[in-house]
Amino acid sequence: MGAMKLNKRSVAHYALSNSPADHMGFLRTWGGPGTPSTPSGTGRRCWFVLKGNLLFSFESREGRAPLGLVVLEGCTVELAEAPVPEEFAFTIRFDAPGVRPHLLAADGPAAQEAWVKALSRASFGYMRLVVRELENQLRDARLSLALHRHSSWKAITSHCNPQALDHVSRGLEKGHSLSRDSSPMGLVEVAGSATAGRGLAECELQGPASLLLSRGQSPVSPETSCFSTLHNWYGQEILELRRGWLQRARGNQPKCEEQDNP
Amino acid sequence: MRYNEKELQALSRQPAELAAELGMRGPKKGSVVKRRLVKLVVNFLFYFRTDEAEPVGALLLEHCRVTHEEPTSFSISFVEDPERKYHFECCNEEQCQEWMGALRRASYEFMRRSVIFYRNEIQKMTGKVCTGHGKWEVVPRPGLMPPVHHTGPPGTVRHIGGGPVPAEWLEGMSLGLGLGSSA
Repeated sequence: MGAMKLNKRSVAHYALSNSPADHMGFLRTWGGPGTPSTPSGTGRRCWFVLKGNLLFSFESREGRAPLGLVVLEGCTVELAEAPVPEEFAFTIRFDAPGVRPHLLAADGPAAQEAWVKALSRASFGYMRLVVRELENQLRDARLSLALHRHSSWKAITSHCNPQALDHVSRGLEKGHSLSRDSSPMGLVEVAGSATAGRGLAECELQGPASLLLSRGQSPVSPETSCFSTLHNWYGQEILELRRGWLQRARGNQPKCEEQDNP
Repeated sequence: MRYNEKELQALSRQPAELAAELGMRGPKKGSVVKRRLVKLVVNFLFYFRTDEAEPVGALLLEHCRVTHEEPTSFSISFVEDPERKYHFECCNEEQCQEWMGALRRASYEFMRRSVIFYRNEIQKMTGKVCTGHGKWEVVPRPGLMPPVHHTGPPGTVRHIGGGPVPAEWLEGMSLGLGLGSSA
């Protein structure tokens, strides 16, 4: 049975491409072809480039072809312990049968620490966790933004004339059609449909206002003296909010398209 | 170019994102379709003869292009030679779409773009740049491990169950923005 095939030409091309490197620098290495199984001498000084879970080595910084590749997925990185006499050394260890740890040494303590840190994070699974975490943070940010808007609405709608509210909510519905599903307004709308059945009997309202009123807020405050003044004042705030939503909706669109075609 | 073949073989035995028996045809002219067990593990696509434990080969998926070919086939090619295609035949269109989607997401480059996208979106929502907050405890051990949240004895690692991403995780990560490590 022959050796395992690998798309080496593409791998080498990726190594040399201007895709971002997570770390790079000179390291001394042992275990190249023709070297003894235990580290001896000062090792061979090579230029190393870390991209994702791939560690490439080159003869020099200007090397036009990688000398070697260490696929790092599943590895453990450790500071090298005695009896290794090398200073600033660390090992890349795998939990695979018949595989010797790779010994590498940096030029100084700071470089050693930086490499160990970078290599410890060089796994696909780690990167996936980061992406998932950010996904969750974005989702949470959207939810809290929607809730924040909800509570602003509550403050507005609890004191408003139902007819005034109806007029205002229709204006906002126009805003709905311009925002994408993933915007905070989309979330409020989804929540609204769930509570629509509990709407107040006194007035028929549509859009987010009904969501808020159905939560049991009193439609008219006895303290309000002049409804038209109050309407104007709240109306201003609503126009401001709507402007903000429209801006975000426009801002969202190009990014979402980009995400569909990575 | 040398590479750590044994470790890559061990990786091929890890749990796969997707695995299926597909018809596979190599990029060389005149190559024929062969049944292969195809397995997607992280950013590598391994392919096995259907009755063997060791893979025939592996494809690193960075900078690959996945193209729909006819209704139930797709091909993988690479940026430096887009006409050199590895062809894969699926049972039906659904399976084909499933594989194409998974393969397109199976690269560091894709994940980097996702990180940039999410960070931008979060910044727009909250006006804040992703910063670390919340506690991450690292129980010291002789080697250095990535920061994980766990409560076991030294050296144990638990699955990270959520919580904000510490800024330092993103610090060392190159996103190709050319702006240094923080956005």
